Amino acid sequence: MPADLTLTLVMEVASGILIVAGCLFFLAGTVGLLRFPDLYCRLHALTKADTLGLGLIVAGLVLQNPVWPARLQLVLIWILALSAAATVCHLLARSSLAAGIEPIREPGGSSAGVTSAGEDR
Amino acid sequence: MNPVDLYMLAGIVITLIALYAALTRAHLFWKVLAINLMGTGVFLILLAAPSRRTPEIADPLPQAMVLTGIVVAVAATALALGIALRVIARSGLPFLPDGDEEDQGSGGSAGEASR
Amino acid sequence: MTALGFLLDAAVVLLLVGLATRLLLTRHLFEAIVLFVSYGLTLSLAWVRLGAPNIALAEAALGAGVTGALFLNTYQRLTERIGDGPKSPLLEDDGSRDPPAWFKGVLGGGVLLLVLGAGWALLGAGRRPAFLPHEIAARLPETGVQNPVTGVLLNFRGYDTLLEIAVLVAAMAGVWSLDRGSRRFGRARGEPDEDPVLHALTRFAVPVTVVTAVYLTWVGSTEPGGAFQAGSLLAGAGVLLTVAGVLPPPTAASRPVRAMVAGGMAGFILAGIAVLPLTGQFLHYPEGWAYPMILGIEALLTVSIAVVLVELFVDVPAVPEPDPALESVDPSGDPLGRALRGKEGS
Repeated sequence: MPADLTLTLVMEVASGILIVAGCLFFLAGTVGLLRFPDLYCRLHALTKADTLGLGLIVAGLVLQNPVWPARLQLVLIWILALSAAATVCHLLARSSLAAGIEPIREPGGSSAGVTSAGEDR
Repeated sequence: MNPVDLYMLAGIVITLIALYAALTRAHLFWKVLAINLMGTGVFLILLAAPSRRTPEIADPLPQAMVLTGIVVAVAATALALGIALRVIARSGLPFLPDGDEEDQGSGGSAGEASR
Repeated sequence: MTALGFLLDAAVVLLLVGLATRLLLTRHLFEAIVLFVSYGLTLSLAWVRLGAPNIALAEAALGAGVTGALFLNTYQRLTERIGDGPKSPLLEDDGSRDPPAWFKGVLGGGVLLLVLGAGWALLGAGRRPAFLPHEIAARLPETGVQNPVTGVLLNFRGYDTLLEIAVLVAAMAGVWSLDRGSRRFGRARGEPDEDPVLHALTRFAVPVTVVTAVYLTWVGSTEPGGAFQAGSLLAGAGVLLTVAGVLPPPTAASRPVRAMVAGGMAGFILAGIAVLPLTGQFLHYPEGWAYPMILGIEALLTVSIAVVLVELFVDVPAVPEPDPALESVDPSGDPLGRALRGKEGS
C-alpha cells in the first residue's frame, strides 16, 4: 500500500511538472508571436513552442488519467494538433512567399517584405 | 460573488455592447459580427441563469436550446454575409443604402458619381 | 482550488468582454475576424466552465471554426476584387457612415442603463428552486437515451430540433438563391495547387475525422456528442477535402447534394408521421422504439448538417467584376465599377 501511495505521489508530481513546463512553452510561443519581427519568425515561434507545450501537457494528463482509452484519445488529439499545426504553418509560409513577402535577413534590419500588404497589422 | 454570476454579468455586458455596435456601426460586416456576438451573450445568460438556481445539476433544456441556437446562428451568418456581398456588388460600398441613394438607384440618374 | 477556479473564471470573463469590445470597435476587418475566432475559442472555455461540454464542442467547431472560416472566405472574396491597393472602405471602415455623435451618446447611455437594469434584475432575482432539471432527470429513461441534452433535443423538444433543421435548410435555399453563378472556389489565383503537405494531412486527418464523427453520433445518446457536433466535424473534413481540391465543391445543381441537404428534415418528418398510427401524436415515439428512431434521425441529421455547412462555407459568392458595359445598358449603372475606379483615381 505505501509503495502504491508513493507511486501515485510520484506520478502526480511528474504530471504537475510536465503541465507547468508545457504552459511555459505556451507562454514562450505567445511572447514570440507578439515580439518577433516578421511572419516567418512568428510562425516558427508559434508552431514549434505551442506543439511542444501541448505535447507536454498531454503527457502530464496521460500520467493523471488511469483509463487507457482516454489516454489514447489524448495522444491522438496531440497527433492531430501536431499535424494540423505543421501543415498550416507550411501553407501560411508557402503562400506568403508566393505573395512576395520576404523574410527579414538580419536581426533588427527591415526588408522590403515588411511594407507589403500581406503583413498583418 | 460566485463564478456563475460572473458569466451572467459577462453575458449581459456582451449582449448590450453588441447591441450598441449593431446600431452604431454602419459597416455591414460589423453589423453581422455584432449580431453574432449578441447571440453569444444571450447564450451566456441562458446557461448561467439555471446554474445559479440549481448548481448541483446541469439543466439540459437551456443547453439543448443553445446548441440549436449556435447552428442557427451559423446558417444566419452565412445568409447575411451572402446578402452583404450582394449589396457590395450592387452599390460598391458595404453600407445599407440611404433613402436618397435608393431613389438614385430606381430613379436612374446614372450620372450621379460615386461618393 | 476554488480560489484558483474563480481566478480562471475571472480571466475567461475579462478576456471575453475585452475581445468582444475590441472586435466591435476596431476599424480593420481582418483584425475583427481574427478577434472573432479568438472570442469563439475563449467562449468554448466558458462553456466548459459552465458544465456544458456539449456546447463547448459545438462552439469550437461552429461558432469559432465554421463562422470564422465564413468571414475569412468573405474577406478573401473582397481582397480578390480589390487587390493589394490602397485602403478600401470595404476592409477599413473609417466610420464616416456611422450615425452622429449625439445618437451614439444617447444610445450609449441607454445601453448603460440597460446593463445596470438587466444586471440588477437578473443577478438580484430571488433564487426560486428550479424543478425542470429534476423532472428531466426523472423522466430521462422514457426518452431511450442517457444523455439528457440528446433526450431534450430529439425527444422532449423534438419539434424545436425539427424546426431548427428547417431553418438550416431555409438558409441554405436563401444562399443558393443569392448565388447567381458568380461563384469561384479554390484556386482562384491560377496555379493548380498540388501541395504534398496538405494532401498528406488530408489523407491522414479525413479518415480520423470521419471515424470520430460516427463515434460522436453514436455516443451522443449517452455522453456529450450528437448530430450537431458530429455534423460540424464532418463538415470540417468536407471543407478540408474541398480546399485540397480532392472533392469538387458541392453545388445546388447537383442532385445528391440537394438530397443530402433535405434528407435530415425529410427523415425527421417521415419518422414523425410514421409513429402517428402507433401513438396518435406527431413525433411521439412508441415505447421501445425511441432509441433506434433517435439514432436513425441523428445519423440523417449529421449528414444533412455536414453538407449544409460545407456548402455554406464554399458558397460565398465572388463579387463580380465591375462591368463598364453596364453603365450604357442599365440605368442604375455599374456602381461597383464606379466606386473602385473613383477610389483608384483619388
